[in-house]
Amino acid sequence: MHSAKDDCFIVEGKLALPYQYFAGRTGSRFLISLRDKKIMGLKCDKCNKVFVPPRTICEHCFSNISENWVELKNTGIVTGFTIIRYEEPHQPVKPPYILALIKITGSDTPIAHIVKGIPLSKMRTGLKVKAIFAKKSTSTIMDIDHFRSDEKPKFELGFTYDELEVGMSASFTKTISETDVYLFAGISGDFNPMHLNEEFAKATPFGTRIAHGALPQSLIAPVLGMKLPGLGTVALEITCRFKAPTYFGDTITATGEVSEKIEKKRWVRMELTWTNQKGEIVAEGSALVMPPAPMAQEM
Amino acid sequence: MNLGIFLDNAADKYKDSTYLNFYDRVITYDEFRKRVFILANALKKLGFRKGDFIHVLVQNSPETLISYFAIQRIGAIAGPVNGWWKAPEVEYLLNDSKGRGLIIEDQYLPILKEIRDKCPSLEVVIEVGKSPQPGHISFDALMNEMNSTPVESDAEIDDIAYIFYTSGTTGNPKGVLLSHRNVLADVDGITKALKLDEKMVLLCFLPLFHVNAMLTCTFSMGMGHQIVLRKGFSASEFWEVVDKYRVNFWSAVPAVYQILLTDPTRQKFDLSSLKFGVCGAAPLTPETFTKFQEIFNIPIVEGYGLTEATCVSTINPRDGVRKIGSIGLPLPGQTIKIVSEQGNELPSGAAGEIIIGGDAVMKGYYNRPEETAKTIINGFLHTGDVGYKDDDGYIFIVDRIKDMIIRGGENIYPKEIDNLLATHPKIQEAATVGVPDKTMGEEVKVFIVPLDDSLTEEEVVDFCRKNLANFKVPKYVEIIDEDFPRSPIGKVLKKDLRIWGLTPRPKKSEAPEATVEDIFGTMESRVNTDGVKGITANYGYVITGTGGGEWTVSVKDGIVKVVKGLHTPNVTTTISAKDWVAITLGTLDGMSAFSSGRLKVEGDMGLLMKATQFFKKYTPPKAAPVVTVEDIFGTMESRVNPDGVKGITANYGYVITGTGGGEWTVSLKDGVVKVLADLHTPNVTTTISAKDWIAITLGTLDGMSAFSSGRLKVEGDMGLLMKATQFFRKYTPPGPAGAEEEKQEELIRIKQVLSIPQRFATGPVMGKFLKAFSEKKIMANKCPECGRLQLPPREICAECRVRATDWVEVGPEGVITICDIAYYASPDPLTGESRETPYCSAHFLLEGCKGHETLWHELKPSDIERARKGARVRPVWNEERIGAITDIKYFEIID
Amino acid sequence: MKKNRNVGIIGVGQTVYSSHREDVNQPEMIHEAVSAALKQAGITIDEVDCIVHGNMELFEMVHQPDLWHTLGTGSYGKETLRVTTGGTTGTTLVCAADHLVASGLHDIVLAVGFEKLQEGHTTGGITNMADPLWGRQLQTGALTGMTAADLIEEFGEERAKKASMKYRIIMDKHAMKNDKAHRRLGLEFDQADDLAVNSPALVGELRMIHMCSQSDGACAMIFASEEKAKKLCKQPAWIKDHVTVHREELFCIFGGIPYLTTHKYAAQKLYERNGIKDPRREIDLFEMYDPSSWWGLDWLREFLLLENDEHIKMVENDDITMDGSFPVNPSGGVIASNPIGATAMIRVAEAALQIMGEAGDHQVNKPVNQAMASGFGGTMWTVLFLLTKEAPW
Repeated sequence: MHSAKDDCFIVEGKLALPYQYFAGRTGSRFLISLRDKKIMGLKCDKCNKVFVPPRTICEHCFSNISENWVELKNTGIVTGFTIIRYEEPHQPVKPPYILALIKITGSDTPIAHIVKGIPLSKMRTGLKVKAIFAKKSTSTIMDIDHFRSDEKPKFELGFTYDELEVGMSASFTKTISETDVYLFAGISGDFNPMHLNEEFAKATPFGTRIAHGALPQSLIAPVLGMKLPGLGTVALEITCRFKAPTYFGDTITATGEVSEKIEKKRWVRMELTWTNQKGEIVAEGSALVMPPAPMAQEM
Repeated sequence: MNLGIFLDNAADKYKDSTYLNFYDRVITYDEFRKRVFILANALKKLGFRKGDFIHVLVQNSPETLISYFAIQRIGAIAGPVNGWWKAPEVEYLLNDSKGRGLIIEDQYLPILKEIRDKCPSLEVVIEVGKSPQPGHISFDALMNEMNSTPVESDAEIDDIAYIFYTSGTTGNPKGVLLSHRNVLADVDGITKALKLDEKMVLLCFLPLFHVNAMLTCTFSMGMGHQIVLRKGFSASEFWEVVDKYRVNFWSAVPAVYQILLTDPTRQKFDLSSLKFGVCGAAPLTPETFTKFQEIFNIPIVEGYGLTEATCVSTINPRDGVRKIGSIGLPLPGQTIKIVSEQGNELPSGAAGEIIIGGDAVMKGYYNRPEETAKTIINGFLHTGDVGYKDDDGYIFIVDRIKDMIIRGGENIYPKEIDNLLATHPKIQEAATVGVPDKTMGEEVKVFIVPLDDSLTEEEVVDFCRKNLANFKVPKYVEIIDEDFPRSPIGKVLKKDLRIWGLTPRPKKSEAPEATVEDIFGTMESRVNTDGVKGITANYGYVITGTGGGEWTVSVKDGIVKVVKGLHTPNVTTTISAKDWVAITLGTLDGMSAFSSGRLKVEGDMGLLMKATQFFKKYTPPKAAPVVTVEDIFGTMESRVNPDGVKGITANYGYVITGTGGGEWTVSLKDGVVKVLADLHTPNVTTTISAKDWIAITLGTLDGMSAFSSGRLKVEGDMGLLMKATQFFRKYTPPGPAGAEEEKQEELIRIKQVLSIPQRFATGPVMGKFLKAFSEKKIMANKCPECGRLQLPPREICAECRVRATDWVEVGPEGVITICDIAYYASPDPLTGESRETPYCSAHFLLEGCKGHETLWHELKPSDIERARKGARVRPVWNEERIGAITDIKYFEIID
Repeated sequence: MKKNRNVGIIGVGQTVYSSHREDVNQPEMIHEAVSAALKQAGITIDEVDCIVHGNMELFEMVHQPDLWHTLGTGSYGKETLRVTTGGTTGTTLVCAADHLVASGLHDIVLAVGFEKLQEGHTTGGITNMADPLWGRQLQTGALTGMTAADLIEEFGEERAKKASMKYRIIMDKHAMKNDKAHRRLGLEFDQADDLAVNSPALVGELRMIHMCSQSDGACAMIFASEEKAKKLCKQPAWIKDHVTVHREELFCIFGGIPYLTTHKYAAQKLYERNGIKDPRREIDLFEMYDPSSWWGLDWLREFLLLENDEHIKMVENDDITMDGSFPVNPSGGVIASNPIGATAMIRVAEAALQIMGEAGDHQVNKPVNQAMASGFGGTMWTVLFLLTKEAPW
């Protein structure tokens, strides 16, 4: 049965509309001063109000204040904020990010901008922020790249998943002394004479005492936990293949290199190598780690 | 076996794989062969026969390669012509080979025009281009014949496939004859040496008129590679291209590596696809070599070869030991020996002439049996290069044999002295030659281009004495104030220096017209607004020598300030005053100055490249400040805005009336602008008084007002005219009169394009109407009260305001009731393109309709001239109909 | 028209109309017009109760301009309405302001119309007015030459072309006296033949010279209740009546007009309601929305309900010049200045200035007791105003 509804269909269209906005004298002066990393405002002496971004006309008394420029600090305070979590093509940065109203120190009107440098969960009004200027000028408000928390966080967390890139590496180096081996024997309970008894060790294929394999292996822990990804990292799996012994007095460098980013889990696989002072590979392996959770500062 | 069969094998094997990707124009292997067949058939039809020389003067494009292979397919010989050659050189070539045919791209026509009458053997000219000259055969037309009948490739393996002319450093260019065997042997050798995988992606930007690019495109064919073919090297697009096409490797010359190394834009791109780079033509400095490998983590494979041995003869292994400074190991299938003057093979470590044996060695020079005999002795090609082998068999080049100086029986290699002197802080470049001497046979003379004008001859000799064996210390030193004579690729022509000999070079009598001060002083007034857009940086200039000083050019998004002294520059350029003036006045090429080290740059190379676009050329000031119409037209060619003229071909006529007037034609051919006296078949003619023309040019009269008030009259295509206004930068009268321009406050515009996706529901009425188009039916709905038909239909009768639910089919034929011819179309906001004008929209009264029940649509463009009220029309339907207005293409008039 | 109370126009402010106002942003440009209007009315923004704001949709690609123009309009803490009805926006703003005052809701209302055409893509905006399923591919912005074709068919090529060009030159001569006007070309009548041939053809016989400009600019007007108007202003211009008419009939409205036009319909209604029998005698002046000199010529007939070639004769006999018997557009009209969202308002404002005697150099040389002003928008809307020197009731 044919109904009128069958005749309806949808036509896709697209509308592209170019525009240019003339910033005008006042707006241009503001944008130009941003290039010099200066934030300028216009002050109404009558109402004792400072407007940033500058307004040619005072909103309150409707008088022209376009000549009364004041230079302000590049700091401010957050008066309101929201966290953007959905994604749209026009957004300036990838969500999640913080869009905040910031009152520049000395001004009376807040401006909207992006805030970074604070975990999303810690974002609050009243946060002190500092303008971070863009390296390259575009003659727009984006000459201020973003505002960054001006309050020192207690700990600097390590690299987040998004910050990590394949090929990034970090290492930790330590000389393994006799004392280290003895202490490690005590900690692990592994008093195997090949580590502790030189005479016994002479009879082994190595001809002398060697360190416990797990001792150099453990040197990867400061790399993963404190350097790459760094604080906040959770190690999920570490594998290790021993290639050469570690003798007393050897200087071992444990290196971790990001080899794969596992998007689905947001985990990172790292290739591990342990080398001695001669450049010989002592051990090789890999690790699977969960980098620190995203903070606003890490976007 | 021959190159034709080689292509067939590749085409059969890789069929639908991409062979060429030329700016996203993709040609598969099969298609490539098909085109080769089409052209080969066409060439046959034109009467070309086996053994004919057919030359090809076409910039890198698929057509270049199609030409080579099609020519060989019919047993003829492809003769690539160097695109950088000037008319006399091309004339020489055509008369030397007596080639009957020439495939030429339109951009080279000026050369042909100059020499055509002097090349009697040239019978057929095939032109690659949009509108071929009369008398020329259109390449496109040949391709459109579409006769793709397979052409058997019956060439013998020892038949000649190519003739490449080498300029050499002595004498006239010689035609190197390369047989199918030669090319296939070198292809085989390089494929093995590079351990190529199948279906790699390579980037080819070297010119196809050189053996390097020709061979690259051939060996790649054998491996099913995809060639990303570019017209030439461009640093600005390089990394983007690598990223976009996932390029695996390329072949380049040292200068390219040098530029790439200093270009920071690479950081934006993903270069993980790269596997290696090939370098040839000249030695790479160890510094560049190591730095490049370090940064990109891919090997550079240096090779060596001559046109006379097809292309490559030695190469460093891709994954084995690569020795810096060495040209590597011989290619499989080639034998390389180092021989003494007597022809005895020398032990490793001893320097002697490099000779090459194997299937890649050319058949000989065309028509030059004597020279051939001198070059190929006992099957070995004598290269004229001096080199030695190390214990591992790696070959190192020392110098050219011809440049060797024999002083009192001792061999002196000039390169050693050149290289030493180049390290002297006051020396830009040195060139050592032998000059005749009665006692010693030859003596050492050094020509020096100084970096610092205070350099003395004594300093040079002292420096050599400290660092060289006594017999090598030059007897004569001459510090010159010009550049060395150089070949087109920048090599110092030592033969010319030998001719200069002992006679001192004349000192330049004239003081340069411009001073460094002048140049910087006028910079602010010469800003090219397009060039500085969006750039913020400080450029420091340290100009040494007499008249020098330090300047900073500070750019802040469009505003340029020139201040004395160095102020935190992002890029610093150091250069002598003399060279700076020379570069500015265009007598010294900036690129040569840069690659020769006379101009030193520290900082961001990307910025520097932009900096060169900041300014219009400096013209030394002239006296007369009064502007004449003559001035304006006279300087037009120098004021071309390359963006404005892109892709435009037209003649603009200017009739300037009144005192000082005259007629001019500004002729544009795709980027090239010529200003001619008189009117030459213009597409647009502008008529205006001299006074108004000057006023408009100087900006005191608004062009639009002059236009709409009729003071400026235009006949012809309005769209063209609008483009014409973008051709030129503003004319500024020379001298003080024009310099004093009022400083304007900077006002910012923020530009953006909003793109909004939309969806429209047709609703049942419009939907029914549009759907009927698929059956070529035009439906109207009918008001049940007044009986009026509506086209396009509406839910409600516009008059009676009742639902119009009845439907009738109307037309499809009808008559025009009123038509509107649009001569002007506003540019599409999306593309910036305007639709072609004129076009005609019209109301059609279709059969079954009456009065004002008309349908609004478009008339066929070619019917516009005949458009009149009452003309009978019918719709022209599109083959594919989707239920849209465009299902009817237009209405056409029925005769 | 029945009104609660009389409404008087007591202040008009206009910016200079120009192709480029790069020195000001949108609120700043509007502020220029608003300040001038307040100055003429002799009041401050504090005394304004309500603001009506309008411009074309899509033209500057800016959403909610009324909001971010607060600083220009002065609407901080005041009631503000946004009105947008295409080309008629300016006149619709006046209608709204009139209703707001007449109803007793507000005593003083400020209306602001503006456009910065250089900031957007006017043709793109206009083309999007056309039916996306049917008309978009065919339309060249608002350009159409069908009116010209009709006039030529009806009156012969020579006469029609001469009349339209004469109309154009008269408008330019008027614009030369208005220092706010955008296009002031200094045309002379002896250039007519030359222009008719040499001005570039746009569509059919519509040439560049016939067509209106694309301008930046703003216009502001202040409306007051009878009591306030009389207190604040020596000679207010009173709003006696206005008629708004719409109809949709695609673009054939510009050629082969099949039915009653909205212009004619509005005029019939206006004259009927106000007892006007002979508009040319009873009305002293007409500020007409004339987007091109072909339409201006043609629409004289529609608005004045003329028969045959009366409208052509009016131009031929110089009736429409400033010193003529029925002056049309002493301001220079839309052909001279066209900041679209303000354009129709400028018609009413200019008519009001003539009544107030404040038109300056282009003040007509006769008493203006009753003036008419029109607004026009596509596809076919008309707003027609009648202003008087005497308070109507």
